[in-house]
Amino acid sequence: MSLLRFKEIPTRIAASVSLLLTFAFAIVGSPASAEPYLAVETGLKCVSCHVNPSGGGKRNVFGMTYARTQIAARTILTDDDPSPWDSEINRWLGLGGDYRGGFQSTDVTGLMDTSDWSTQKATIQLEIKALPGLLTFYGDEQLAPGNSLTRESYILVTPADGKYTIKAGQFFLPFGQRLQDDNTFVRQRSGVNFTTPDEGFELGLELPRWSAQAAFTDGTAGAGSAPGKDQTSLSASYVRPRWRVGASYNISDDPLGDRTMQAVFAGWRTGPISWLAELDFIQDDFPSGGNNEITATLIEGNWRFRKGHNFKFGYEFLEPSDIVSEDEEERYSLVWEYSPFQLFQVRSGYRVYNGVPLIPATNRDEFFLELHAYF
Amino acid sequence: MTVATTSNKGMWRKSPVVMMTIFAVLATAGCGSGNGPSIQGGGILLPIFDSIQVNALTPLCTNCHVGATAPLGLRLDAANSYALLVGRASTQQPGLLRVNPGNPNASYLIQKLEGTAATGGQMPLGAPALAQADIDIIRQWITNGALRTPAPAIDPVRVTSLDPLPNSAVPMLPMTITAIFDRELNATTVDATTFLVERTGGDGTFGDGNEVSIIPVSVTVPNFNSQTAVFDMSTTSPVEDTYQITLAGTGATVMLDLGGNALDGEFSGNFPSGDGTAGGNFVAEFSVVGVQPTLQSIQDNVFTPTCAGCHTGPTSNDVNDLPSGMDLTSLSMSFMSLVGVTSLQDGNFQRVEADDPGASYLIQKLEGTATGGVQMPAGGPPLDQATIDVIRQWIFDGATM
Repeated sequence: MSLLRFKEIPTRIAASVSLLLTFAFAIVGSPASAEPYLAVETGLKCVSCHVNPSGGGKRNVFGMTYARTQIAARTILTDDDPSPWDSEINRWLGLGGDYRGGFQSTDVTGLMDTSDWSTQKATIQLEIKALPGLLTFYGDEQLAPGNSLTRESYILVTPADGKYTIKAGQFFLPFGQRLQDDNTFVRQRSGVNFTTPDEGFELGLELPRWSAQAAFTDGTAGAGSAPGKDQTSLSASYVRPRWRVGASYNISDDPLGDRTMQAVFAGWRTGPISWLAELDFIQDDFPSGGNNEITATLIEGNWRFRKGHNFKFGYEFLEPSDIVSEDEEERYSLVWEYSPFQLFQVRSGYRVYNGVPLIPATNRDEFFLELHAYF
Repeated sequence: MTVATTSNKGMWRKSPVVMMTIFAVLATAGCGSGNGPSIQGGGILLPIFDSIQVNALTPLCTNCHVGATAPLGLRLDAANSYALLVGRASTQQPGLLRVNPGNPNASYLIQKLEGTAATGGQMPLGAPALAQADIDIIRQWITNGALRTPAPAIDPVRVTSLDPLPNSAVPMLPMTITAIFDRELNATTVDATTFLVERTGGDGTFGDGNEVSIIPVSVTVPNFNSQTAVFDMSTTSPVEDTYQITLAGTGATVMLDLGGNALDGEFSGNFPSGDGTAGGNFVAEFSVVGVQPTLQSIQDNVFTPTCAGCHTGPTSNDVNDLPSGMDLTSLSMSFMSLVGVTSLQDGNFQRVEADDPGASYLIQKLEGTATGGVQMPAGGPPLDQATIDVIRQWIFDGATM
């Protein structure tokens, strides 16, 4: 019998307490990276491994070198060209890409059992360093599934040796942790993830221990400008070698109802395990008055127990509406990532969703076997 | 599903590919492939916009497509979806309408659901695809003209499900009772006069005058699902009894749908309710069985039959007078003997410390972790943990009389 079943501890309080407890044991995470646990593990910032200062997308030379020498079980070098691919064609031109695809089986409780093989995403990134270290043209195009789709397209100016960054164009917003998995509750419900770029400009500050971004965009998540819509997204993190902590704030003005989002996030190491945590509060205002509040949390551990292997385990909690009682959802993840050699990874995982009994889709088990290749 | 583990470190070290394969095989054990019927959003999907909203768009699409940060600005919540879908050009494929009335093949929504869209992934992204049978119903709605509101229904509204299930036995009183109907309700007709809950009063029968009416915290039709009526009884003291739910289809005030059709309520045990004619109350029962987290229930089910044989009183402050020096023979004496009373065996604890079952000596005695004496009930089998948990819950709730 659950005590919570009878003692209705407000979700927000419970979620806050749980996150504060995690803070009490250690402290906090990276602002943005496709795999922010690696940033936590190394004590580095996202810009150390990615062209984009706020993380994700094309890896830079260091990122490729780290992936080859530290993540992969072994490095394969060809006889005729002993210098491995590092994403740089020459000093002015860089090229990168990702492919993710594989098998997924889903069992929706009591209803259906489906499985299929599919390409989830194939992307290619082009980096033109017109003035190396100062002016970069960057593009990230999704090639599959379906027709080509622009994910990011911007110019990046990095004066003062990258201390300041100015980005203009279409890009992914800085908010919370830039997790690779768009279906985590924190990324899915905030609407800030790798499927929702926005157009505008972003100012950034990179100090030895600080990373901060302020983005001012259309607020249409890739649909161009619209009357009365705009979005401001702020994010900052304080980075130490063994831990980091950050906070984000986002406000979207919209004639159909404004949205305000706040996030606190953290990363830390305990022994061989790198932890990530995030707590998001989202408020949607109704034009007619009133609002709905969403709370989403994530805690994730990553244990690279052997070179080439990472064991990822996570728990997420979601309160999709403060208006509706007993609609909470949970998501458990268990993922094994194996990189036998550079540029290639096999991921296999099992996820369990527990949700509202009346909505079968919120109660399902998923198994996936994914092939991930990148260059 | 069971995922096996191994301690064979050598196997991990030497053959990760093998291990990955084994992991995959084990994890997929029992998984098959198929495309079973029905909608993951729950409820009955009909070629009517409101049904599609309630059973598909709201539960499956608003995970992402909601609020001011909805992807591509496409909000699919009930307040916005129709206006942003029907007759509106797709952002990804401007040459197509998201919903082209009368032409499902030229509707981008259908292409996204079926995974044939020229751009981007199949929807819902990252979640299982809808069964083709469900998509066909959405197709039918579009073929029918993609109307916001269909021609008014003329048949009566029916009950399609109930939680808790009719004639079920549940171990604890639910906080809410939820009835689901085959269409949206007129929320003004759903209140404590048309959604009634009572219990027998302890004799197991209704209609003999001693029934106890349950006073709800609220009776509502949630905005997010107006096919649902929710009776909130979260403040009701749980009592082991048979409960009867009545939804009014007959009488001065009855439940109505948005078209003004009355409830067709007659229920014979199978959903949907009704006999095809408007009118008739929906009546169903469920039972709450087993000890409840109230002192009265604990007294009746635990203290009186199990403890009061030894703990007879009169109350004493001398440890040598135990067990009779504690009085568990009645509700009031149990309360006075337990709550806030310092244990004679271990003065560091109260027998029951309100709100703190872990610090209550009663729990320690029942679970066999107390420092003094033997586990209770002395000489008999211990209480099952579920019963002890109920006593814990009563203490956690404040240990009131």
